Amino acid sequence: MTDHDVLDGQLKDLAAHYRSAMSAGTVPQRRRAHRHRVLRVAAAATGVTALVAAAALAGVFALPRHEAPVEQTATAVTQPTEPPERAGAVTINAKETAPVRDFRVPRIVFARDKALYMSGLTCESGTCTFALRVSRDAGTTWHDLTIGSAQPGHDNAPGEAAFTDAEHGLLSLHNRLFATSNAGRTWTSVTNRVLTDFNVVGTRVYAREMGAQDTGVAGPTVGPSGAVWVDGTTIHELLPPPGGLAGFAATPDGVYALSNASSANLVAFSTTDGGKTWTPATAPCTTPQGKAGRDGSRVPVWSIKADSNGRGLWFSCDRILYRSAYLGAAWVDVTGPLAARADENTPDILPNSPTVVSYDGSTAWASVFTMPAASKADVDLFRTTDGGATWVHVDRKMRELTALDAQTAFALAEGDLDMTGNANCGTYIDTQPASCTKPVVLYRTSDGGATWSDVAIP
Amino acid sequence: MDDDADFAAFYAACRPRLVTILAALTGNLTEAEDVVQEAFTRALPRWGRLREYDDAEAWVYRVASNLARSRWRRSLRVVTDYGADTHRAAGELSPDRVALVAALRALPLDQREALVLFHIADLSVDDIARRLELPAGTVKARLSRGRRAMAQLLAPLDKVTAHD
Repeated sequence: MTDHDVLDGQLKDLAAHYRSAMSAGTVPQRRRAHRHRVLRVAAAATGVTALVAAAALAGVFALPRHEAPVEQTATAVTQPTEPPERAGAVTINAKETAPVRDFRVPRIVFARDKALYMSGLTCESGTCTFALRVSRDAGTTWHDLTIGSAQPGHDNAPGEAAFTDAEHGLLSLHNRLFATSNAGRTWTSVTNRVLTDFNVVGTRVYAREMGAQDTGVAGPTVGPSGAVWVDGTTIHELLPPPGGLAGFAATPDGVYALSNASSANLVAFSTTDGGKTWTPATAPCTTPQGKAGRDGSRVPVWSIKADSNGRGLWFSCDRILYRSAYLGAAWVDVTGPLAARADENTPDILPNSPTVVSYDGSTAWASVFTMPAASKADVDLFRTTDGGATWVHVDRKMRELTALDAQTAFALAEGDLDMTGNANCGTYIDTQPASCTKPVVLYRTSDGGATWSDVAIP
Repeated sequence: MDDDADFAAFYAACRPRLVTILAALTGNLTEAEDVVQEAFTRALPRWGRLREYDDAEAWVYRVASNLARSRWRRSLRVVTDYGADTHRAAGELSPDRVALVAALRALPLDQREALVLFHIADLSVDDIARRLELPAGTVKARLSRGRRAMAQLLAPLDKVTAHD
């Protein structure tokens, strides 16, 4: 047998193994149950039959806002959902230790004044535990709060945390939502709904709800809305726009959302009353199905992001970056020099649109993935101080940037962005190759990105 | 309703193949199932038009492989290879297969993809070239470089150390 045949046999054997080991899989379903719930609510609210409500919902785009029967009574759904497990709430007491040497998949979850919190996994002897790494003095001293075992399934996220101030935060872990009011030292379960994509606006945390249709993993049923906002420990439904919720970003003025109403066009809405009424809004892109793929098909490429400390929105799609100062009104193309970076020799489609992290309406940072060679990925970081009118290139491989104020920012930099062989460096938990010599490092700038220094964690 | 039955048939026919390919590409069965499911979920609302394409499976493959790539770039949220599912997947791998998976992961992605599409997806060089929008010569070169690298990576230990 030739090497060729041997390899062919080995790969086919591996394929056969995967085929026999894979789970059965569940055909994705259109969200019928969800739609029926909405229809019932709409019918109850308008005093008409579900049939009429359905017809009205279907034709809602033609209706002016005040006639649209998507106005739903507050009593029906917007009342806070009673946490289903309040009686048997679970409490986790975090264990406080000096920083553990092996801290993986770090993510900056809170930065304000002198408080800086990261989430990640502390690993000792191969066992990893979800933890917060906390500094209350702008990175000078640190401690770890070990919270619980990493969670399997559900996007394989090890857990997701968000803080509204230095004391109050939420944590999605083990298919539950936990809340803390003492800076992460104790966590009490609030609900067993699975929430993700936390978006902090003042004291509220907006979140998307995950279910089996997101994860492919059998899990809890998604609630009626697909998204919620949490104030303290009270959960409110964010009632979906007509057609269902495809994506959203929340600002102090309200919520801007894209709807599933059409697969041919991006359909946008905004609401200022938690989804009770949705007003048609503008989506800046005219090519909703995104960039043509290599096979001629088109893949959706858009993301919406709110100022983390301001009122505006950023919308990136098809490698163009737009900015709106108010809830999707008057989008302005602010791509500037980011476009050239995004387009170099990029065989992939999805990740090339800029990702923006803003401090306020003026100061923002944008990172752009580039692929200078087919098998090499890079990140370029830009900064603007005039709301995107001009961008300055900050030449570091930064990601997960979090701004403390207009000048001070923390960022994680990947030691190795090379896709060739070391794709897992700094990324995967138990498969870090020995060749990953440069771990993820936390950097700090206090001069708007002109200079960066390592934040040494003892 | 017809649409749904049609989509379910498409799912049943293509999913095992796609999961297998993605598992070989990522070295991780759980992640493969995850990205393939996500890709099918994205295909569902577009099914009305996708079904008209010559090769809807190629669309799903493209989305799934892009998801796999963008995941490690976004990486912080996407932690794979641990937890109960992994033990299911990894625990059953024989030592030979573990070595094979490790060798595959050591290859540059373009070579890995060419090998997987050729040997596991059973696509011809021309099919791969069409799917990746590359000249056939480039595909052949990647295949041959990939095979050479695999032979070295899977050679007995004493031979490998010589290359290191």
